Amino acid sequence: MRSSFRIFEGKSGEMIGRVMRTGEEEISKLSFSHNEVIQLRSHLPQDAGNYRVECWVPEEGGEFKVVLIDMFSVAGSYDGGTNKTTFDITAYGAFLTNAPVFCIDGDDVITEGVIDKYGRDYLCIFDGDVSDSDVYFMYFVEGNKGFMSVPVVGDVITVQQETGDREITVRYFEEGDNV
Amino acid sequence: MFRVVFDRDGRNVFDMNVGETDINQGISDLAFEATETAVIYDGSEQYSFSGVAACVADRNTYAVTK
Repeated sequence: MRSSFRIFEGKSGEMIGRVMRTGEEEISKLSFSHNEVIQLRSHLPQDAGNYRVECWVPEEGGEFKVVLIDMFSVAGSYDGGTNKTTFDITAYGAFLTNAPVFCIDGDDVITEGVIDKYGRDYLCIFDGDVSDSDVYFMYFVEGNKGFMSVPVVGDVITVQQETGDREITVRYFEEGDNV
Repeated sequence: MFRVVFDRDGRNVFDMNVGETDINQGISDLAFEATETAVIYDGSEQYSFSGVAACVADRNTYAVTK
């Protein structure tokens, strides 16, 4: 499997990253790594803007699957009485009740949960004690070609081509840019 | 209608109605697939299709996937 990404700056349309997993070619103004996972940002921007990531493969070709992770740096809280773990993501914005959310622990065990709203708080809720996990949203497209454009709100944003060897174009930009 | 056009400088053009989910529409490359589905969520209600879900309130999510 070979991962290949092109990354564009939203405002100018300039291609600022071209990453091949082989490391044969790399031009970057963003901070990212490409040891299988491309990191688009590692912390929340200070400008409080609305950011978005688009990924696409426009032409027919081999099967692929590209996964976008939008991860939050929040600590979990386990309640032994209910046997539930909650992560409070209220500080990151407003969310939709019952939206799917995931967490992963140090052994790469993934658990799926949902968002619920308690008063003004948005909580990610999981069964059992997963308080040592990292919580995130996950989006993916797969097939012979595809496209997605999703709002990103977390601290750490990554993309990865999990299946296939297609060239994936990825654009990370602030909404309101001339795109 | 849901149409996504990929132009040569990497920018995309959307031509769509928020709230629709159209099967057999999708990427405008003159080769729509029967398995392709275009989804548009405006962040007012929670929806999911394949690997794309509406999670963030009041923000649009777009996808063409199978």
